[in-house]
Amino acid sequence: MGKKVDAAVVQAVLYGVYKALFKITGASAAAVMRQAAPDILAGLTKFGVKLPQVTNIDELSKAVNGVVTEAGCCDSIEFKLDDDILTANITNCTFYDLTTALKELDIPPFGCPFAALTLALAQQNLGKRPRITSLAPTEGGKKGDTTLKVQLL
Amino acid sequence: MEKLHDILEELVAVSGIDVAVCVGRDGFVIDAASTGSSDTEAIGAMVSTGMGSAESVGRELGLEEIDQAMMEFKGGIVMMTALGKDALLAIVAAKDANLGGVRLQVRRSAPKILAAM
Repeated sequence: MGKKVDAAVVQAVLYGVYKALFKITGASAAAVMRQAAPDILAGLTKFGVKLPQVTNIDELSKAVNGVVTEAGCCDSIEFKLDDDILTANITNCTFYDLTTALKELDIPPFGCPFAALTLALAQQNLGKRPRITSLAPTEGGKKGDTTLKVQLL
Repeated sequence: MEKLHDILEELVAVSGIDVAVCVGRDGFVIDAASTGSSDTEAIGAMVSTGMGSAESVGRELGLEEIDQAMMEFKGGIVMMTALGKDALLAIVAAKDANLGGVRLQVRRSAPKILAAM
């Protein structure tokens, strides 16, 4: 893992980018993130972050958890697969303040880095066509705990 | 009720229409029909953001919600029609297609597509 930067600065940059993206493309901003997802995976490889090419959901969960917690993105992430629904449980998301600030402007959480990463992994490692069905604070969870549900087709 | 794919197939059977794609606003291709081997996944993603940009122009100008947007290129026409708030229908047609006829077919098909989704 490379040099780390202050999460507040990263969130500030993303805040500006996401706000502008939403202003220009509106509800279709999610389509931009969908396009970005595979490039985020490619970018991780390009910039030296190793994610193993595993197809087993438990191994994938363990590998992603190792990478994102080492990067300080959250305290943990865990994938579960029930039929065609892939659920990602994220605890203490570092980008929570960013999502909250955008939500105050009625901007949906299309830019969630975990959502983009999950979409890309579902496509590349699981070979499925993924679609986000929900992304919301975990029921009964603490601040920053988030549950993401993706339908795999 | 007609199936979504059948409605899209009917559209591409219209003279001049090469591709009909039903796509979510998140760029997810719900279904598509094509007379050739077009990359409908790529078309879906591009038209979704194209529609979003056109919608933003209207919003900035206070023109309310978008109904339809069209782009004319030297090599063909792309017509995007809103299907509620969550999806859109994109048509790729030949440059010499009968535009009035294409628009008529799209207007007739849009409610059927919405019902079939």
